[in-house]
Amino acid sequence: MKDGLSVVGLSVSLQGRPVLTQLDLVLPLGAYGVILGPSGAGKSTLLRAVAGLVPSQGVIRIGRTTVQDGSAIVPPERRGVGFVFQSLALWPHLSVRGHLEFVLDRTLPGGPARIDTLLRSLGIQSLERRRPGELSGGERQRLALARALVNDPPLLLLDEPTSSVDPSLKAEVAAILTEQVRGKGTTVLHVTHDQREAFALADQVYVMTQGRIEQAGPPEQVYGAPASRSVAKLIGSGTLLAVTGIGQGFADSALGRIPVLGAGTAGAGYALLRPENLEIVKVGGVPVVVKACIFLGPHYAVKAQLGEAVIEAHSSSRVEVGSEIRLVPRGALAIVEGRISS
Amino acid sequence: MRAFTWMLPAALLGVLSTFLLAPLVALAARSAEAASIPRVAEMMQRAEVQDLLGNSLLLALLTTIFSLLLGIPVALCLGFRRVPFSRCLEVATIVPLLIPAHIHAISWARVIGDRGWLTKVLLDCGIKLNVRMPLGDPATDPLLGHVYPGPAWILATTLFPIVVFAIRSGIPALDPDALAAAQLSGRGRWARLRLVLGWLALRIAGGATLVFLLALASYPVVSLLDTPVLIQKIFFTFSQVDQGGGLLMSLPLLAVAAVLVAALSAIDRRIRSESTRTARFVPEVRSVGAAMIVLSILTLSFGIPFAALLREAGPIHWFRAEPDNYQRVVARVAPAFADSFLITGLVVLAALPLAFVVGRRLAADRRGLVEWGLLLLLAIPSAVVAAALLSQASEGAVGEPMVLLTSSVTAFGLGALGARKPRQRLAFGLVASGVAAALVHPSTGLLRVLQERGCGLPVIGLLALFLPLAVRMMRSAFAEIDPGALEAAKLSGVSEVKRQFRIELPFVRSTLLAAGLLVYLLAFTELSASLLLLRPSWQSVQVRIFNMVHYQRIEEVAALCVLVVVAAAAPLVLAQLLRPAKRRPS
Repeated sequence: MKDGLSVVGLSVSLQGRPVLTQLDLVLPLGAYGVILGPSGAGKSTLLRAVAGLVPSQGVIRIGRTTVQDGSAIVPPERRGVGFVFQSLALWPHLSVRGHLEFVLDRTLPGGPARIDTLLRSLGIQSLERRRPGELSGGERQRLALARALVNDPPLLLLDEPTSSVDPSLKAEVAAILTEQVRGKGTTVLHVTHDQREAFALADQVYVMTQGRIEQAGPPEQVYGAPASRSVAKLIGSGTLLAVTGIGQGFADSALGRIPVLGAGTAGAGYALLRPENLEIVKVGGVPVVVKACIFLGPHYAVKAQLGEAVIEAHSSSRVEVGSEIRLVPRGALAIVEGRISS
Repeated sequence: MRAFTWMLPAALLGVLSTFLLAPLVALAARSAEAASIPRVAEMMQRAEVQDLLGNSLLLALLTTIFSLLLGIPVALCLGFRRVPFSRCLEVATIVPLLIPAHIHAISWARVIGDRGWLTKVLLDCGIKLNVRMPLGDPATDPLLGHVYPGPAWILATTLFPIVVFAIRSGIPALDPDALAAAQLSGRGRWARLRLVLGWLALRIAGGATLVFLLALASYPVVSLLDTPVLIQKIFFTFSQVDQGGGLLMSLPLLAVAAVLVAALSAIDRRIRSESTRTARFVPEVRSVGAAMIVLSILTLSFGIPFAALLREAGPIHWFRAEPDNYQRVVARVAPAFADSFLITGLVVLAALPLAFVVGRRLAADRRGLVEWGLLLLLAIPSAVVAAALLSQASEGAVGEPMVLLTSSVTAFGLGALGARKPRQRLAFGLVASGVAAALVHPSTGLLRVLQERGCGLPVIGLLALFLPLAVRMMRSAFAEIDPGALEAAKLSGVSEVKRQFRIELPFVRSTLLAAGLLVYLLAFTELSASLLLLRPSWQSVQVRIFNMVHYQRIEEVAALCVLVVVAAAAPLVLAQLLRPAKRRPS
């Protein structure tokens, strides 16, 4: 499979502080990649480095074009990437059409008619004379996306495009991205810290911590089998349960002998116990005391003390705090690498 | 005791009104008959007035164009590039504004005046160019004969820093990501420059409007170069103690000023409504070329004429017994320096607390009317303000009832505006009015003292001219304070005075300092009002220079001009250099 974006040994230092260290990333052509990570992990810096907006060392290829290597650096304006900034970065004095006319490459087939087509497809054609100050949050998002897409860039970079909008708009933006971008042949690298958004959109998820890609893979794989404790803590809710005696698909834990996938170091490690891996039963199982019960809409999140860990299970009905419930593990738990500290 | 604490601000409004507003109201009232519609119509039909007004507008327009040509490149180079010696260049950008306009005129006259070295060089090449001349013959050329590029250029070299400040104040507010988006668009540098200029259009328009306004009412340059514009005629009429005639002549300029002020106020509101608090743009790209561009423009605008001035002033005799021109002129004008510093010091001392109190009060009032009023006060030509004050003092000293009436009524109006509730308005108005009446009543003798001796009139005149500027700055600074921070202080239960000193003052301290410096500079270098207001026993350096140009040796004038520039620039340069470096955002 051809690569839409390939980054090799990328390092960025800002004001003498290393932000990205020898980072490698490969995104297949036309794929939708999402970078997930905590604040300060270097997600936005990675996008900016790919766009050429921050100086960096390493090799960057966009499609077949090497835009940066040890010998040459293509300036940002010639990389041909589309970029949707976190702040949207609209020009307050230009109209909607003015934005697109400024950016439009008139040598592309279709010429100015591309603007009308794009405005129509994004549903903002009637707003073409308005300025950003006269647009709603969702309309501004569409304009930022239209500006990034008008020249059919080979690579679209999205820097937390939904971070500053309310939940209803997030869904709207996600829908636009799904309809207008995903599967249309454009390679997309999308930075977010919203896991739902990431899993909903991504072909490939890249989990990033402290300037490195910790794990890369399809969303199901990243969710189901986190490669490290830090990835496990970051993705989804759940508890890392210390286990010992790992072998032949089973391990010993505070919940008793449980089915597991994978092998820990020297037979010990952590099992990722997600709420869906626990079932509340009336008979049998392990008794635990309820510490909290939080209503989440479709279900209640029940938090209970198990040894030193606080584990979470889902319940269809409210459970009294302080009462005792019984839990049974369901399915095989993923073993996450790492020694149990004394 | 608490019941009477409100009387203090009301009394303060009475004092402010008496000296700063009532003279203008009185002048308008006195001249109502003189400025009747038939007389205004008759005046406007006079060919001389039409010529003078046309010249004034063309001069202001040309000054604005020159200022934009000088100011825009400087602002863009300093705002978008990390230039070497940026702090020094920033200070150098302010210096032209610090040099009084008449010194600019004297300097340029040494370059391209009747006996200027460049005039001689050009004459040898067959080009007849003189800073005083219009582009064409006024008798035969209906357009170029009224265009005076020399005075316009000189005014522009004084005023272009306003354009620089206006643009530079907008650059940090630009969204750095939006600039990056423009870069990523793949468009060329010129297209991106056009985008940025469009983005900064409001700031540029604001700076240009202010330059136009100031050029329209600037007297010293046109007086020294004898340019036939309306402000010359107005000043001449006022100095003939013809207030009615002076005001009548001023009406066209005041009308244009009112329109420009309204435009400026609208621009200011648009800028405030469009400003967003996103990440601040900080220039990253180092550029020596940008520094060279700035340096070239600064050299062209004031370096060359100032060098001519230095050359004219001659060398400093460090080790020779024979006094140099600087020593000679200092010996001659030392009392004028002392008087200037005293008057300027008093103006600054009075302006700062007043600006703090009034600015704080007005910060809560976001009506455009207040902004418009403040700007309009700034736009009134200084000759008009001085003439109004002079006539109020002289007529009040002899017990003219009009003075008592206008002072009381103006004070009542201002007092009523100063309170919020209807009953409070009445009480405020009455107290302010009472204070005003007491101040101007002949029995107190205050106006007689002001008129006959002391430096009270110039101090009040300069205060009337520059207090609105300081108030405007403080009003903006107070309006910028996070309301949550003030509410938190209020909830802490400490007294209002303590809150003002411990919480609010630190927030606005730098603006207060800047306002103080600005008032110092403007008051120290002011000429037009001083010419009318100074009593014979008092002197001002600027007035001395103005007189010496005609009567003294030019070497000594040049030396005095250099000393004035140093005295005016020293505090600001010092403040700028001692300013702590900005921390770059992490």
